[in-house]
Amino acid sequence: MNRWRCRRYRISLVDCAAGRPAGPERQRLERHLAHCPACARNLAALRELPAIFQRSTVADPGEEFWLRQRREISRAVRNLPEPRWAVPLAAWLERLYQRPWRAAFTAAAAALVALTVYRVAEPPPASQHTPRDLAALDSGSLAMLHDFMEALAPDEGESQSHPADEDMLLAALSIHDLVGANALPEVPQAGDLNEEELEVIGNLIGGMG
Amino acid sequence: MDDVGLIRGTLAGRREDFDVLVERYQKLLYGFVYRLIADHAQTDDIVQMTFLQAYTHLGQFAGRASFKTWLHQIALNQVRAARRGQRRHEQVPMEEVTESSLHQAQVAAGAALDGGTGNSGWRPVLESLIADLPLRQRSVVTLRIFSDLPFKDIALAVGITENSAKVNYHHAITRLRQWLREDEV
Repeated sequence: MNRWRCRRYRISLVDCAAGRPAGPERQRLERHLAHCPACARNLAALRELPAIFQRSTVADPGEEFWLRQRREISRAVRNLPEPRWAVPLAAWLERLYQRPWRAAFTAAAAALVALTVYRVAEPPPASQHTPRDLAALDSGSLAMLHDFMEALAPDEGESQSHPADEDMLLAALSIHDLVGANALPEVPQAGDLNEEELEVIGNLIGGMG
Repeated sequence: MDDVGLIRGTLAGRREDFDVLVERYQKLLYGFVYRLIADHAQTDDIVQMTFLQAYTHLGQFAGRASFKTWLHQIALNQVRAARRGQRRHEQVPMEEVTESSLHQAQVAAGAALDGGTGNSGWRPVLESLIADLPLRQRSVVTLRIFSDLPFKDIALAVGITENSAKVNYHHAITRLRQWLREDEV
C-alpha cells in the first residue's frame, strides 16, 4: 500500500461506492485497486457499512413524546412574529459578495462608480441642433430665443428672421443648452456670464461668421 | 404539498403549514441530533430550537439547498453551540474505548455482515461506534447514512467543501471498519 498514492483515491472511492465515477478516472481507480488491498477493503466497507449502520435505529421515544414536542413547537411558533418574505438587502449583498466571482463584482462596481464620476464631472456635450429643432419650438419659446440672441449680440440690428438668422438661432439654442435649462425664461445679459462662458459663446458666434 | 408550498403558505401567514413541516421532519432531526449528542433531553431541546430558528428565519431561506438540508444545517449549528457550552463532556477518545467494548462491536458487526441474527443487541454497539467519531466525521456519516443527503448538501450543512465532505466520509468509514475488523488491518 502506498499511503501517499492512496490519498489521491479517497474521493474516487467514495464516488465509486455510490456508483460513480465513469470513464478514465474509474479505470485508474480499478488499476490501483488491483494492487492495493487496503483500498479494496475500504471500498468494500464504503459499500457495505452504510447498509449495516442504517439498521441501527435510535430508540423511538414514543408517540406521546412526538405529540408533546409538536404541541410545544406549535405553541412557541404562535407566540413569535410572523416571518417575512423579504431578504434584507445587506444579507443579499453579503451572499453576493461571498460568491467566487466577488472580485469581478467588485471590479464592475468600481468601474460603475468611476464612470458615474466621469459622467458627472464631464461638461455636457455641445448640442448638435438642426433646423428641425427650431421648427419644433412653439412661438413663445422662439420669441424668447430671439430675445436671447439679441441680448448676446445687441448690435446686430433688426431681429427679423432671415436665412442667416437661422444659424444664429441654432447657435443661441446651443448656448442655451450650455448655460442651463432655466436660461430661456430668464434671458441672461452678457454681463451675467463669466469669462469662460463668454469665450465659448464668442467662439460659437465667431465660428459662424 | 411539497416543502416549498408549505414554506410559501407559512410566509403568507398560515402557521398550520409550518406544523406540517414540523411533523414531516421531526423524527429525522431527532435521530440526527441524538446521534451527535446521545442525550434525549438535550436532543429534544435542540430539535425544538431548530424549528423555532427555522420559522424565525424562514424569509431568508434562499432555496439554494433543500429545506431538509437547511434544517440539518441549523440543527448542527445548535449542536455545536451546545457542545461549546459543555466542552468537558466531549466524546470518549478512542484510547478510552475498552477492549471489551471493541470486541463486542466486532462480534456484533460480524453478525450483521453475516446477515444478522435478529438480535437487536448489536445496534447500540454500532451507535456507540458512530458516537466515538470526531464531530465532523460523525456529522457527515449521519447526514449521509441516516438523513440520505447528497454530498453537495452535506457540504452546505456542515460548512465544508463537497470534496472535504467525501474525504471526511472516507475517513469515518475507514475508521469504523478498522474498529470493527481490526484483525484485517
